[in-house]
This record gives sequence, structure tokens and C-alpha cells, in this order.
Amino acid sequence: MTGTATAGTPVNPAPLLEVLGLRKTFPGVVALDAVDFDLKPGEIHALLGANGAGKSTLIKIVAGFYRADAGDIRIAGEAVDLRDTQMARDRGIGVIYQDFALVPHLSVAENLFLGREWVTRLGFVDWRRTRAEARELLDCVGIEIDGGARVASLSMGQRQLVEIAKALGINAKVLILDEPTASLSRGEAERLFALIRRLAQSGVGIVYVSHRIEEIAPLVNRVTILCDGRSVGTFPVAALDRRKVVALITGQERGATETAGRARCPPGTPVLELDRLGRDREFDDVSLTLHRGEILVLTGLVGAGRTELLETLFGARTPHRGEIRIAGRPVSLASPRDAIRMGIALIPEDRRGQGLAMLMPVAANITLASLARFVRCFFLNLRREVQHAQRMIAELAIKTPSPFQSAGLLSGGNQQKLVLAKWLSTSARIFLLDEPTQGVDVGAKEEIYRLIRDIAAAGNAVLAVSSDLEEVIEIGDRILAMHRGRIVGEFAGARPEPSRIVDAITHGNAA
Amino acid sequence: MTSGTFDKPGSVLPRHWVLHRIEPAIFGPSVALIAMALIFSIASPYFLTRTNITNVLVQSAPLLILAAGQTFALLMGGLDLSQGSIVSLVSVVTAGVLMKHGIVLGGLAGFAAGFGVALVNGLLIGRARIQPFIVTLGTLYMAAGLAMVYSGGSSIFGLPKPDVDYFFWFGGGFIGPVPVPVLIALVLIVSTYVVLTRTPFGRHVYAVGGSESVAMMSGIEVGRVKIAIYLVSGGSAALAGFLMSGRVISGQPLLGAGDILLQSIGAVIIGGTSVFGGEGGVLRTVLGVLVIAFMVNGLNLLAIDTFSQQVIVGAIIILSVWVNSLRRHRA
Repeated sequence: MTGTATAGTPVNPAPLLEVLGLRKTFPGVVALDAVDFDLKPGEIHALLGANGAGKSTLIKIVAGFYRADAGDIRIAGEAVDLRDTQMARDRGIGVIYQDFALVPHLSVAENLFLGREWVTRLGFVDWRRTRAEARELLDCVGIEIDGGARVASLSMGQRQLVEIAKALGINAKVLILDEPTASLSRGEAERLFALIRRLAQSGVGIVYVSHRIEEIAPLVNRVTILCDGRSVGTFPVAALDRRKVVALITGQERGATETAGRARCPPGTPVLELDRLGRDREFDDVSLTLHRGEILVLTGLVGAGRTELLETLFGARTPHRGEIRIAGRPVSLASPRDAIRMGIALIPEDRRGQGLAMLMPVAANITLASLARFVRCFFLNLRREVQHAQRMIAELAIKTPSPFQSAGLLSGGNQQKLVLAKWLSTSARIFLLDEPTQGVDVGAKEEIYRLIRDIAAAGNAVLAVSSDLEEVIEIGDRILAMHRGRIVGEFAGARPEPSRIVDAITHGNAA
Repeated sequence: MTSGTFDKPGSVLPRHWVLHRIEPAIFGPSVALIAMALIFSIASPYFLTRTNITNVLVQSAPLLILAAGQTFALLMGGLDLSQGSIVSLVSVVTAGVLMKHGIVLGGLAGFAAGFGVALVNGLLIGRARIQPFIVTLGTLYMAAGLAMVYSGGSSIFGLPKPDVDYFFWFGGGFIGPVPVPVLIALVLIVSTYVVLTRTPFGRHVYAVGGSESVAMMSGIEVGRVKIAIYLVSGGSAALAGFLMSGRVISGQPLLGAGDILLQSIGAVIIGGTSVFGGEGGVLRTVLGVLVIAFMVNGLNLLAIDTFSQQVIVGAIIILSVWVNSLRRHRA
């Protein structure tokens, strides 16, 4: 059926993929509401939105990972009910996620045909055919690596191309790329763009998910913008300029309150000073001063050394050069335990791996880093512990049916609040936050910003790392741009110009 | 999940801390235990008599002690394969030293040997960071070998009086109507339970088992926690070895070489403690021990041979893990 095209766009060709009135809720939050989206053959269609705007939810529904609560999905004009990811794959939908779905210890060729291996008549893997087909796919994406190379030995950019080759191997007609340049160098990104254009010319429809306005303009045909789970509209790329996109992404109303409600307090006394801190191959020559009551945001691309820097300040890595001073005195932090004793808290990016014991109850997670407070002659005072947990749950408005619920069952936003509660229970005065709203749902994001401001307003110092430009501008009193392990610019003042920050973090140009 | 479902402040008593850990995983083993009691008591009039139950409890006291310690290792996401060999080593060292120097030094020497192996386990796992499976597989061989070397491969009989009577009292004596080893096992169960639920160390065991890196990033000294865990599991093996030797009033270099190690791990698993760590507890283990002990006893009463019993116990281990994994998937 070709009659389903929306008004205002040409009637033909028929959309490869069409989504109508999509709605998806998670406990306590509407992730998507009444979202329409369509993709034509040969089109590169950008899906823009801030973190938590619903981009990931939308692509996960199209990928068959989640099921929508309401709405239709049509592939080549035919209504489909995608019950699992295999069904989506069979219908030619290939998704390349940020964290690649490749097995690092297997070879490139093995990865390309994982789950659909070529076999000989005797049931053994047909290596000759596997190698030949792998070569063909790798040639398609223009990558010179050998099919026998182990994935672990590839760069991030090469892995991305292997992922695309894998998607082409299943004859993907729709290719969805989630933040594809997040971990790529500039050269790798350029090659990726060239490949995307070539694939589009051959008739593949491409959904390009991003929150970077700059990189999509020369690449895409149309742009759909999501804001807080709703579609703001679909526009030809020529009809947009950067200012308009920023306004649409953030939602104009929010933009207004944001500048009004932003009270920049004068910085207090310095609490944390770094003097030419460095670690081989990670970051170098990092000097900064963090003041009481201040929110300092460190921004940069993935791989710029930001997480490594925070982990060094938390004692999980040891610096090779330079000095860390707390309240004016040089300190050496050999372990997170040392850092905690010095009043430092790290709210990590990897909640599952470093932030929360998912099997343990909410209450036990809240007190995990401050258990000593609840000990009376060798034993834990469980009543006081639970009372404390209940107080934190109420104060931070953590949505949980009880303090004894396993932490793993909470939503992303509530898990993040739980991590904050855990560190607010300690005597920490310096809060290190790594991507504080990563994986956090739409509703909870604003709450977390408010909590971060409260933490700073209470006289603590906050050093946050974020790659979400809107977030950086929203919460930062001062902004430091990091590029390849070095600080390349500082931005302060009422409303820093986003394009200058982007320039600094992508090219390392000093402001 | 709205704010309406919040627990009212003050309505929550610390008792809940207990409940969340023993519910609902204890459902499986409890049902198994009750079903067994029903079937065996119908099949054999002797099963539910006081003599039989006392016998089973006395026989299962060492297993209770071993499994209580093993629970710590599994909660951490590891396991302790050296427990059986520690039993053998403690047995011959205690008896050997007792022969010349009396019960006090004999007991001290035995426990020193057991804790020595436990400390080696702990240091290799907690400091050198080698996997528990590898380390305790190695010390399983080493401690078993040391027991044979020390005893020359033969049992140590003919212990002197009156020390031998004290020795027997620990393994087979009574205080009033209560068998001493059962009393010791009970005290150990209660104290390990209190340690796991009411002390920072207990909480750290769960945290390390749940996620080592989360524990580390929360300021917990993971290495030390692991050392302590293997001291607990090895120490409990030493205690079990001491009691078992007392019961047979001799040093036996093969005392722990039978299936007691496998029963110890099996009991923890049947109880419902997760082999991946972070989930479980010592009360579950008690249920697991009772399931194994009464199953073996009931099958004995029905004159079913040992080898068929092994088939059944093995099947129960797999079944209990299967039931637990189904429950977890549904949650």
C-alpha cells in the first residue's frame, strides 16, 4: 500500500518503515507518546533528541526488543507485530547499538555469521564459504581487515564497520545506527559517513540516532525531533538551523525557566585542586580547581579520558604524574576506601558494574558505603539503618514499593537516585558524577538535576562528567572541555555558546 | 509503582531483613522435607521415632558445620573444595599430637593445621586473586597429601586415657538429653546467622558476592573479606574434623575423603543459595542439610542401597537449582 504516506511528503515511494501513534510506558514514566515516524528507501533520516527523549525506546521497539503499548508499525506498507528481535531481523531491520553486540574473542568472520553459520553437509562449519562471504561483506563496507582477525584487536571504528557488515549480511533494508560516532575518531567518522551515503544510494533506509546537531546536517535528508517522549515534528534538514534544533530539542518552555531559575552563586573556597595530573595513555596535564558550592562540568567525547580522571580522583586508579590536593593539602589516594575517607564520592557511569549491588535490597544499598555509622559494638543496628533508608527514600523521592525491594528492580532514574542516596549517607563533601543521567528516564532527569543543584547548594563541591551538551549547559556553573586527555578550554558565564564547546571537544581548539 | 505503594514509615521492623532472605526460596526445600517426612513415616514406623531423629541429627552435625562455612564461600560467588581434606588433616594432626601431649595441645594443633590451610586459601584468593575453584582444588590435593604423609597412611588408634574420653565427649557425648555435636552445630549456625545478617562483615559478604567491583567502589576491602570468608569455611571444616575424629576416637587420614565435601556444597545449593553469589543464607543451608540427612536416613530404613541413594541425592541437587532458576526467571 502506498496510500499511507503522510500529507506534505511525496506519495511515492512507499515508506520502508512507518510508525504511527506509538506509545510505551515503563513503571512510573511515559517513555513514548503518540510518536509518528517514517523512513523512505534511500533516505537518511536523523532521530534527534536529548538523553532520555525516547530515542532508544523508539529504536528498541522497532528492533523488537520492547513491545509498544499502543500504535502501529508497518514495514514496506504491511502492518507487523514484532514479538522479538528475531522477527525484526527477518523483516530486514538491522540495529547497531552503541555498545556493540560483537563477541570479542571470536574472529570477524565468526561474528558476521554468528547464529547462522554456514555448515558443510556433515554439519561442520564451512570455513571456505564463511571466509568468502565474510570477505564480500567486508568489501561492501570498505574495510581492509582480515576476516580471521579477532574482534578484540579492532579499533572502535573498525568494530562499527563490522557491525554494519553484519547487518548487511542479514539483508537489512532498514539500518538503525544509535549514536554511531560516539566512540569514533574524526577520520573514522568520515569514513562511516561515506559508507552511510553509499548504502543510502543503494536503496537502504537509514535511521541515524544522535544528539549531536553538528554532524548530521551535511549527512541526512530529514530530521525527526523527540522531546520528552513526544515527536516535535519531522523537518527537511534544509528547513532547520542549529538554533532552531536546540530550541526544539530542549522544548522552548524549559529553555525559558532554565535561564531564569539559574542562580550562579559566587564560588567558595577551593576544596579540590589538581596540579598537572596525568596517567599514561589516558589523560595528562590536567589542572583544575573545584570550589565549595560549585558544579564544574567536564565534557568531551567518549575516550577523552574523563571517566579515567574521575576514577583516579576516587583512588581506583593511581596517577603517574602530578598532584591532588584536598583542602590545600596534597593527598595520595591508593584505593576508593582512602578517597571515601577523604570525603570523596563517585557516582559512576556504570551503575550495574560499579554503582549498585543489584541483588541487594534498596536499604542495604543506601548504607553500603556508610555501614560504620550503623554499628553498635560489632553489630548493625538494623532498625536505625532501615529508618535512615526510609528517610533517604522519602527525601529523594525514590520510587520503590519498599526498602527491601532488590535494587535491580528499580527503573534507571530511581537507581541513579539510589546511588546518590548511598553517597549522601556518607560524609562526602566532594561529589564526582560520571554521566549522571545516563540511562535515566525522561521524568527522573529533571529531578536528578535538581538533586545535583541541591548537593552543591548545601556547600558540597560537584565535579560532573557529561557528553550531553544540553545537560552540560543546564547544570554547569563552569564548563571544562576535554579533548584526548587534555583540558582544552574553559567556559563560564550565563549562557555559553554550544558550538564553541562542540568545537573544543571535537577538535581540541582552545576557546 | 506509585507513591501509594510505599510502606508507611515505622511499619517496618528489622524482622523483614530476615524474611526477605529466607522467603520464598525456602519453599522448595521445606516442601521436600515435609513430603519426605510424610512418605518415610508411612513407609517405616521407625522413621519418626525420637531415637531415629536424634541419630540423624548427631550424624548430620558435622555436615551442618561444614555447610554453614561453605555457605560463606558460595555467597561470595566462590566455593571451598578443600573442606574434606581439612577434615582429614585435622583428624590425624589432632590424634597424633593428642597421643603425646594431651587433648588441649592436640586440639590446638589440629585447629592450627586446619586454619593454616584456610589461610593459604584466603591469601591466594584474596591477595593473589586466583579463582577459588583453582586454589581450593590445589589445597584439596595438598591437605589430603599432608594428612597421608603425617599419618604414614594409617589410622592413629589407641589414644591415651583420660584424654580420649574428653575427645569422645565432643564428638559423641551428651549434655542432658542433647548430643554435644548437635549443640555445637546449633551454636555455630546461630552465630554464623547473626554474623551474616547483623554485622558489617556479613553485609560485605553479600556485597562482594553481588558485585565485587561495586563492593570495591563502595570502600569495602574486598581482599580482606575474601580472606575472612575462607577462614570461616576452612575453620568450620577444622571444627567438623575435630568432632568427627572424636566420635571415632582416632585419627583417620581418609576421614574427609568421602562424599562429605560434595554433601557440604550440595546442601548449600539445595538450600537455595545462589551459586553465582550474593543471594542466600545459612538458614537455607540448614534446610538443605536436613533434606540430605533425612533423605539418606529414610532410604536406609527402606533398605535402599548407598549407590541408589547417590543417584537420588544428585537428582535432588539438580532439581533444586532448576526450581530456583525457574522462580528467578519469573521474578
